[in-house]
Amino acid sequence: MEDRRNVILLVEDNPDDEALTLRALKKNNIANTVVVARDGTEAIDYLSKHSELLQLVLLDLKLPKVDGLEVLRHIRAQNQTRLLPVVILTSSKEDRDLVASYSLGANSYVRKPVDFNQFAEAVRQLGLYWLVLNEKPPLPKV
Amino acid sequence: MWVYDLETLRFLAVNDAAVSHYGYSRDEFFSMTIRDIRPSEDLPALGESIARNTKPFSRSGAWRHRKKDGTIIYAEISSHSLVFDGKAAKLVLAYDVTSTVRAKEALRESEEKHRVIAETASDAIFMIDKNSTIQFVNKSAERIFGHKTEEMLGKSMTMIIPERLRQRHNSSLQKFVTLGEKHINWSGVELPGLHKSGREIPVEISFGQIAEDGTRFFVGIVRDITERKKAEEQLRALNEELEERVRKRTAELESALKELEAFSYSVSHDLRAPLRSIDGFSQALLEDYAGRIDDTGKNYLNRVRAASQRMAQLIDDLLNLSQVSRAQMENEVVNLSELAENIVRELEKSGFDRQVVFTIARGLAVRGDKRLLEIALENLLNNAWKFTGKQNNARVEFGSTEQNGARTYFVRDNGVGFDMAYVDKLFSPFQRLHAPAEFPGTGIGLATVQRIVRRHGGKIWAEGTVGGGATFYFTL
Repeated sequence: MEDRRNVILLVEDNPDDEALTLRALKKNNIANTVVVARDGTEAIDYLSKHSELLQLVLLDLKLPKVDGLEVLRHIRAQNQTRLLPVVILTSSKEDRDLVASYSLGANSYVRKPVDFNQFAEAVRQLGLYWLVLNEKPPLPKV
Repeated sequence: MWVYDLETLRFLAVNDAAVSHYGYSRDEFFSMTIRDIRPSEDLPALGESIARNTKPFSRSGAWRHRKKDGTIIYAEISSHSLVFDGKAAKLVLAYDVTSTVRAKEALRESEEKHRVIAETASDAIFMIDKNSTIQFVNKSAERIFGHKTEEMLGKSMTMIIPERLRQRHNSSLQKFVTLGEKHINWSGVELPGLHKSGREIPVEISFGQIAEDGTRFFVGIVRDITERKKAEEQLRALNEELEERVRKRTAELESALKELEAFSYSVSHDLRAPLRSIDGFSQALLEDYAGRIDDTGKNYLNRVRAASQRMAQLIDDLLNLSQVSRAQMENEVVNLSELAENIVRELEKSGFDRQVVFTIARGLAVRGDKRLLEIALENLLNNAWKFTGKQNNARVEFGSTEQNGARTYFVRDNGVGFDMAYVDKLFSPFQRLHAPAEFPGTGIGLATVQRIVRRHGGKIWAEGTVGGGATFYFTL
């Protein structure tokens, strides 16, 4: 089965943050296709249809309709996406969010810096790590 | 024993017993009349009795006689008419019954005393025999139970006991009777009593046992505790109300705390996102439109970026401060020296090629919350490090002393110091004594330290001179 996993799912409700993230990815020459879901429902919907294309999920926590933790729970519950790398990308640094995210199986937790340069640098490092350096998990058995 | 002349009342003959008992000699007797052995107040009565006494034999008791030395005795008299030496006379036999009389008097006085005590008592006093028959009640019993004394005497005590408890009373009494102990005391028992009207009264009773003439009686003291019960009930209701209020207040506090947490949480999300946009798009402008913006424009955009980053820092500091106030305090032994050493190591790593001499006292340990104390020390040491930035021989010291009997810790530096005139402002949030250009910072650090110190029950204060460094003292 061909490994077509090279899409980044960006789950982000804030249009500004969406624009800035996309810009940062572009600046760092990360050419992967980025699909944007603007709330939890859209995210789950995409996951149910196209999970075989996904290499990485960048997940914000505060989302309308279904929030980020719910989406995470869903991802880890489905066999198709159980091992899919998920990076929480959010403003919050609250302990309870960290605990909840890691407990539910997030692979990484990055707090979005206000300073755009720092933000771009963070995106660069995330891209380098998760898209290049990190080994993809085995394909799920069909 | 003596004989006296009926007409003259003079002693005609006396025996030896009379002589020894009354203390007069024979000759003295013969010169006296029977009036002389009486106390003067009794003489009229004597006169009357002689006049009335025409029988040949009579017996009368307990006359008062006076001995020669003045002592009064009681004598029981029996007198016989006879003729002595040709004269009409009386032969008198006198029995000294003083001790009996005195005993009787003492008994009467004692009885009187007890009666007064019983009647004065505001509690009801009952005396019953082993069959529960009421032998005696006092006035208060009338008042408390509504029955007249006559209605109670001779009846069973069960008349003042509610019907359902009568059997229990009888069997308890039987137990006492058969136990045969000398002084059984049964005190302070609370039971309902029965008023004549049928109403029940809460009472407290004490029972004791007395033996009189070999028969056993029981004395019961019954106190009407209606008022006391009412007061107890009021107190209980009051306590319950207070506890209810405390419960409510605690719930209110808890919900206020939850609101505060929710607020902090939303601050951390909602306020930072727009800042990110401001900074991000300013940067985007600078990068993507560099050619089309002049230097002034670039300058403006940089200011915009700097301002938004500064605001982000402020928000973070505020969040930290509220975190410090909200967090549950752990209580364990914390090695302050170790914490300080760790912080210093981090500072030296971020070095910027600065040479700072840190002196840390060893073995400083205290009870408190490790996390909070770490934050406090971090702030203090960071400040010291920061404000010695312009010093060549920067020296920072962390140690402890005894001040006024309390262990006082301090962080001292030889940096830029401060003017003591502004010492009050030091700990206010966001108050700074230097421009951010000179020394970076938001002005929250010391407010945070103060809050942490206060939560540990301590105080913090500072001393400094302009250009001569600063020392921050705190207790925990």
